[in-house]
Amino acid sequence: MKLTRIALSLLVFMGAHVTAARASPTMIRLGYSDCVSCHISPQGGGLLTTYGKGVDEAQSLRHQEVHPVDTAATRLLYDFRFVTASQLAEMLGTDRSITSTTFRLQGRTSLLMSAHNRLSAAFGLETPVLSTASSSTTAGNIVVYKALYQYRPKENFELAIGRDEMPSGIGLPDPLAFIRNGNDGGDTAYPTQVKAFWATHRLQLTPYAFGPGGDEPAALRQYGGGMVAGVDVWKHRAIVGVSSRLSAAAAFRRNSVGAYARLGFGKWGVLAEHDFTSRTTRDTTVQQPQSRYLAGHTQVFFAPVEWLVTSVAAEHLVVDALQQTHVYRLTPGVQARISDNLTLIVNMREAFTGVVASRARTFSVQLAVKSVQ
Amino acid sequence: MIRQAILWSAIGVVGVAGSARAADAYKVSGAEIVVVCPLTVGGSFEARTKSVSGEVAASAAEPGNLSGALRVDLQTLETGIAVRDRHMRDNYLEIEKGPDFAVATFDQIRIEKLDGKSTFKGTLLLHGQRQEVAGTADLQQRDGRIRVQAQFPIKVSAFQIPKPSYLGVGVRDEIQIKVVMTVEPTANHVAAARP
Repeated sequence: MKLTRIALSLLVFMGAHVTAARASPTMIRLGYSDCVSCHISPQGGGLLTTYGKGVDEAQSLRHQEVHPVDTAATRLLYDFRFVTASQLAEMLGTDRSITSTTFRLQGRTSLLMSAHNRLSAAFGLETPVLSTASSSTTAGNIVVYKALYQYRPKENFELAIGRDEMPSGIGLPDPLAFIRNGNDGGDTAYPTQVKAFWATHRLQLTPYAFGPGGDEPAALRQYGGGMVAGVDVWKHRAIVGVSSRLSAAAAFRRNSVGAYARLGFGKWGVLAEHDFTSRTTRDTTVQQPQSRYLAGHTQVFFAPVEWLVTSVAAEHLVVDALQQTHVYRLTPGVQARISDNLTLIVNMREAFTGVVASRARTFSVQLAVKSVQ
Repeated sequence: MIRQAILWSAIGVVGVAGSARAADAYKVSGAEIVVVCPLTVGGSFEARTKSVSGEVAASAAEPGNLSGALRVDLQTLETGIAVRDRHMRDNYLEIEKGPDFAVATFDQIRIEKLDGKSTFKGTLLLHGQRQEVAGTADLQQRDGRIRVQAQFPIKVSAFQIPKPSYLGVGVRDEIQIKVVMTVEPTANHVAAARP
């Protein structure tokens, strides 16, 4: 009974940290093969460019004409987001369920210092998980998601230094969190980085070096580097690429390789990212020093109308350590962009580890409200 | 309504080369036009329509010269974003100005070969402007029908279309027109296109 309660609480905790809708790699279905035309950061997510604001509104149910500020000329850009996420989690093996709600208030800002220099930041206040389970596993806190200096000498090149999410192939925070939680449990989501974004007509290259974010345990503080490299193989509608990373911490060495694809075909498309990681502990007394992790996310999405995107995502995690364990997740979902201020996301997630008693199902509803400058 | 800068554009058009044996007349039985519009910031979007009509016939004396015309209803062009479609039709193609703006017409077609890969030239009426265009085509005969795949570039500025731009992002001046079309024999007499 206690185990069930812990598992449920964990499920709520993980689910409650589902990242709200932001970057839209699904826009590759319309030929947007990278993020730079719509987002201030070439990595995507965060503040939108003037054009991105226009597309954001145009892709909403309201789709009115908008007249946003000129982000290329305005010195200070900012917005505020309020995200609420409610969940119902069920352990199917034991017929137990709990509900939970979290609230998050975010501020995002960017200061244009000169024609080529910019400072960007994103921070948030996250409430504790308000749960019907008696043992809450989280506390409210203040999080700095991003603190970046960006130097863009040319349209197709940017150098960024600071704290941010790691670059990835498909640019979706939720799959990135799933892969990170599998391969690098307990690690920071926002390491300190030096990274470059370089794009040509067909290539998208992001080499990076990184260090700790400061909010991870000392034994997990990693230093290393890697590369995300993609190539446009079909009319700005098919990007395939590879990723690699080498790093080391006080307790282990780590390396990984991955592959990803972003494919778009008008109303539908496919996003996939898979990663193979090997970690070798420096502790010579352990029986099996090396652990291997295979984590992946594949989703098929379909936009029956512009403002509504439906998707089905399948995820898997295989951990090959002393024992081999599997986690499978299936997540059908719907994202409705009501206006450029309001987005609603409804998901159902089924998680399965191969043991009937551990089957879990989560229903979640997220509502994100943001200001538009 | 239409104030600031705008969007896109896409210029539906038609390309193609009809083909046929001498004196045979063909009508369009199915087609799709894809207008590929590269953006100034990288990436591109496509405007598509299947609303293509027309008949062509090869001249008995000069099989490479096709009489007749192909027409594309620009009102039906879609890019996947309704606001962009509206800007494209109203601000750039200006289809409300009349038939020469609402319909793109391709005529005076001259094609090098009537079978296989070839090059062609023709006259495109778009946005009230007539311009000669040239491109490549691949004609394949199948079950009495001819399947045509053709492609040609045009310059937006050559047709006096306002420079397409929306909130700081524009469409490059040169865009590509891609045509996939099937034509089938018709008994009708194909009149020469208007001059």
